[in-house]
Amino acid sequence: MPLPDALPEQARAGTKILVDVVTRTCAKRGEAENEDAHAIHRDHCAVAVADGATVGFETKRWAQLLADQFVASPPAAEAASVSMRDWLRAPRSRWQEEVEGEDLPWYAQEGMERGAAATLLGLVWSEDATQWQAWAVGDTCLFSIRSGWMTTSFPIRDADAFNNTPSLLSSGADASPVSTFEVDSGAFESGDVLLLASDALAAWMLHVHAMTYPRLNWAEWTCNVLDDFDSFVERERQRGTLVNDDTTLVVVTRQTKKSLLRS
Amino acid sequence: MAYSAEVSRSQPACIYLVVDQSSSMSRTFPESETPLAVGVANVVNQTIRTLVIECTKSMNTVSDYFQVGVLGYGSGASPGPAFSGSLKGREMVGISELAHNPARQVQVEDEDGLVSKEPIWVEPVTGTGTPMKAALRRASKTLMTWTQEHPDAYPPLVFHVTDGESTDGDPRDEASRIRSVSTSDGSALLFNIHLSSRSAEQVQFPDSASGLPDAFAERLFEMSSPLPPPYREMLREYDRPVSERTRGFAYNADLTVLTRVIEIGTRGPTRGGLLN
Repeated sequence: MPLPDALPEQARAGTKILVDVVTRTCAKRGEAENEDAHAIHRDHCAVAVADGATVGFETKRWAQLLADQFVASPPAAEAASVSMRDWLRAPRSRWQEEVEGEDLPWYAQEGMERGAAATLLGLVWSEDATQWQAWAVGDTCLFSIRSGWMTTSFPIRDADAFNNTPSLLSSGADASPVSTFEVDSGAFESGDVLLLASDALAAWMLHVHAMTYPRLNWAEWTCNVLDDFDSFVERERQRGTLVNDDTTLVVVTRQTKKSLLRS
Repeated sequence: MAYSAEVSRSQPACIYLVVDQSSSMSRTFPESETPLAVGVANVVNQTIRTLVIECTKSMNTVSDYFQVGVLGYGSGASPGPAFSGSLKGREMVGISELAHNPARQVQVEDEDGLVSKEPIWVEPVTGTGTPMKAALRRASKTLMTWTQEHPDAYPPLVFHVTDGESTDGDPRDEASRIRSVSTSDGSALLFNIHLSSRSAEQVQFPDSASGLPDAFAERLFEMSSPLPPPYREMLREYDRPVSERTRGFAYNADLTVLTRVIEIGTRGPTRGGLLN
């Protein structure tokens, strides 16, 4: 919901600091490159996380193009659905430009034809930070936390639903194309926290959410894990409770008046 | 759970092919002009090419998720590595090195007129007898060394391709030795694929020796590994009947069956690792 033009400039500018965004990411153990990508565009009130499929060519590049595309031009809130073929035109064309080259070795030429694929989760909030909307393909997940409770899990609700074959957006023509995004939305209130998590972490969170009694305070968990993300990831991988995979967490917090006064 | 080890650059998986290069491999496939040796070399080269592409992460990086060895036997000399070009004589080579060192490349035009370069690492060769026993003995030694160097890796996947009977004795003990080579994740899997130059009934992934056409087929069946659960799952996806006694064996196979067996075999290490 955009703010009316009549408001003083200062107040309009002030809404941007209503929302705080923090990111943490950790590569898969044993791999040099982290194929999770994320992007933030504060003016557009948008963040995105894309998780590149491990088998693919220039996967990180593709994931980053998707995340960048989402935050650069987020789908309109009132759009009933987005044609994925149209939406993918820009990032696909960009990917092609960036990887094409006549001097590529034979395996890179083949790789280019094979292309890359990634999941995508984009989040947009209204300028007055009272509403959020999320757009998803695949198993990168959004969790909304209110007063420490996990109130939304999107697009996956069940830890058992994660598998090796999530929906993916491809850099080239696709035998089984995804037709559109899954969409969810909600109210964004003071103190609310929205978490974007790539699949290994999302599965961990849903599993813990189901198995922990009394229920975990997810707001406290978020604060703790932000302080020492790498240790958390390493510890849980050692315990076998977190799959060894690129792991990304983006924390979007709707500030309260208290936290605004403090800052 | 066995056969679930992570495949990574620090812990690659091993793909090992043992290829009959005896004189009878110069015979052609049924109703075809393609000699068995040429067909097999094509499949081996295609397999390596596919693995390279799967491991090609970027314009500059081929990740060493696999090490590949090809052992030829029956070409005259003792069984030995079958790579050509700069990799000649090498027992086991990482995928990135294979990517950078095909022996040569051939221009291939597809039905749409698109020209591409196909890399070649192994040439078709035919020679004399079929020293299968010596070949499998050498294979077991190479694989034993490999597992000592990679004790927690995905177990080696071994594909033995032959068109005929051993001429240097019963190779069943040597086959057992290969199947007993193991890592902490399980025992090596030995797939035996028999090719025929005569039109004959094909057998794929049987679970019993009964019904096999002759004693030679029964012997190869016995030499083949029973398939562990993850592979049985994969066979079910191919709509093949499967039981706990199903073995990695094909008889009177043609190139399609050979390709399929290798495809199924090499998918094992990538299901939990590369494809997540």
